[in-house]
Amino acid sequence: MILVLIVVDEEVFINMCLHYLASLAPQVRCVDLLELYDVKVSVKETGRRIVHGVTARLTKPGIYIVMGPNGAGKSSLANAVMGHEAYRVEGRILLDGQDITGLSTAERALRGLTLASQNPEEIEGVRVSEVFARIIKRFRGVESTAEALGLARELLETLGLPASMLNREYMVGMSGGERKKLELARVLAQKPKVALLDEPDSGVDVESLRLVANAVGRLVDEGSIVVLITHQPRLLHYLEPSEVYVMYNGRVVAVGGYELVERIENEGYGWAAQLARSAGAP
Amino acid sequence: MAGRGLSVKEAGMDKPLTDLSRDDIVEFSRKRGEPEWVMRRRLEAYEYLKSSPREPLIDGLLEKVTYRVFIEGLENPILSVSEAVEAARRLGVRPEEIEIIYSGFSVDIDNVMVKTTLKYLKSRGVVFTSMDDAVKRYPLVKDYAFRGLNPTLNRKTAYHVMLWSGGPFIYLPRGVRLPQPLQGVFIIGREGLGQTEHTLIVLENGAELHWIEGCTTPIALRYAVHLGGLEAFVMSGAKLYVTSINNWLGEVHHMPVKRVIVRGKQAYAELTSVAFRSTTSNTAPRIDVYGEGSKATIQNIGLYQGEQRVRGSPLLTLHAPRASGQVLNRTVVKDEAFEEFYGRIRAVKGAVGAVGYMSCNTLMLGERARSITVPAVESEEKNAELSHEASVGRISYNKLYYMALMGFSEEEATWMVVNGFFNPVVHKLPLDVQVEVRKIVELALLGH
Repeated sequence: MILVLIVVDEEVFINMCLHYLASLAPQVRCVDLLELYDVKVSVKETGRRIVHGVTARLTKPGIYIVMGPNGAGKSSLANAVMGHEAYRVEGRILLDGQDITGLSTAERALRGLTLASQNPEEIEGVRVSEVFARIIKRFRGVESTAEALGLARELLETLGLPASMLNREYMVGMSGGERKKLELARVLAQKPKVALLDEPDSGVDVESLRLVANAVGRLVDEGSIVVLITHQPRLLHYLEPSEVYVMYNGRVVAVGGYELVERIENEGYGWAAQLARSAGAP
Repeated sequence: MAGRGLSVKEAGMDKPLTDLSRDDIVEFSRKRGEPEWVMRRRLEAYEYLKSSPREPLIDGLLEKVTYRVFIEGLENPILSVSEAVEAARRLGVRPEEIEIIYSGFSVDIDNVMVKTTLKYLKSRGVVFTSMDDAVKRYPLVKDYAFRGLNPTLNRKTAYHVMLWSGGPFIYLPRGVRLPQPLQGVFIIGREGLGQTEHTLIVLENGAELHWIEGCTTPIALRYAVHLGGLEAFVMSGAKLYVTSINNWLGEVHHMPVKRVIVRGKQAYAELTSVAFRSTTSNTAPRIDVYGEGSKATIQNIGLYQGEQRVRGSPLLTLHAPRASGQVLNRTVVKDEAFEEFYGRIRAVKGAVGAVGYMSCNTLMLGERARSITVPAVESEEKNAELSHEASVGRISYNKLYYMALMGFSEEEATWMVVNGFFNPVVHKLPLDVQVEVRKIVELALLGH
């Protein structure tokens, strides 16, 4: 079938595309999904700038790796993209072509953007099942609680977590590894358009790395753009990244393929530091 | 629901309740047709009030109510049966379960389930009737009534005993366990002193009861005082659970008196209050554990808002060897509400091996809410172990941010956190009560 679209202007095109094409085939993308234009991030309290103008366009489902040493600004950038109140953001952040910089964190999440946090919070007295049921109903349009919980069990299983975890209080008294895995299952439950994963591999044993990689793969299978922040290449042995970004001192100093991962594995970040200096960093 | 002809001499009807004379009390009791012993208890209360100093927090509120308003409230409740049913439903009571005790009148709602239940209870030897009726018909009432809530216990109790009217009497014979909770709803249907109901519960050896009482108003009242009372006696091996839910509209001052006496060995008593709206609340529930190895819990969950002023002074006294118990207080204070908590656990000399534990946790919402917690543990017995812990916290930005990553707005996240905060107490309550607590929290925090 041939579709002829008479393009009046960009906005009309995007709307038509979103309404008609995307409903026919979930793989169809009408616009770049996440776009960052010259995004600068500073800490509100001190005024110190920690990200010095990042531009990136993530256009199709896949795994986008952000690597860099501690203090490169990776987590700050991710939290700034989510709208954390500690950061002041300059530049534009677009999700599905819409500027989201004025939206609250919850509104960003409802539009399909989320972050797997390095430090998931405990919610005392609230069971994992309740959190997951609410999320699955809201983000996946599931109406029955039984069906939502069925899916929740399946998502936990993807991460090697027992179904009995549903009865535990959310994140309360869990080990580091359990937290990381449950957090990824939570992100999966939201079926996000864009998932920012902030070091899902840190503090996870080798055995569990494969499970984390499974979850990332499943996110991509379900059509998500995955932005995977890490400073160790171990997890990447299990994944096929679409693109690799290397950050150093608040700048993206290199964009490329898997060869960048290998270079970091072999040489560390010394070369990135040099690139950052030549880009004007102190 | 006809009046009872309690017309009192016109002269002197406009004096405040704090200025009643001995003759007023005698006449009040006579008109109600009470036995002499009840009148004597009322007069003991009257004498105690005469001889003890005025307390602003109690007398100050009762001074605003005239004798006329009090009597008229008893004679002519402005509430219709359908209004009462509606108010009960708002407290989460299902229509088929409604049995309303209103100022001593048992509202007969023609429904099969209530009748069946009452018939079943009767066949097991259970007595479930109004106190007005019970003091006349059951001699055993005399052995218990106003002995826990002794009129000389304190000023508030004295006012209650002097002015009590209505309320249920529940008696469970030896070994009778009621699988379903019994439920009562007390409704203030009119301005002035709204309720002075007296609840008396007696559980014989091995009996088990869960009594749920809901207190509310059908409409926002301009001014009302709730001076209800509950006393209970728990014999060996018996188990008593009392859950009170308070959700008042308008200017209502909530100052009930409660006391449970655990007489028997290896028994258990639990007083739970779920406190929502009121203007002021001044509660001091007490449990005295006299039975060896018996246990007790006094617990409260509350969500205080607006300009609410709340003072809670629970007292758990362990009199017997190996008696144990806990006092738990979990409250959320929001807006400009102010909570004071003075929980106390005492181990009396001779309570060898007694164990007491108190835990107070407060969650503050907003910058202007205030809370004071002063827990006290006193041990006269060196071989008793009493402890307490307390925490005051707020919901951190990081928690709200984290929950926003899941798409929860600040209101939704707060609501979930508050529900979770109450959960350690709520999850053990009957399902109906759990559902109701959730609904009330939802209304308070989400506005729907």
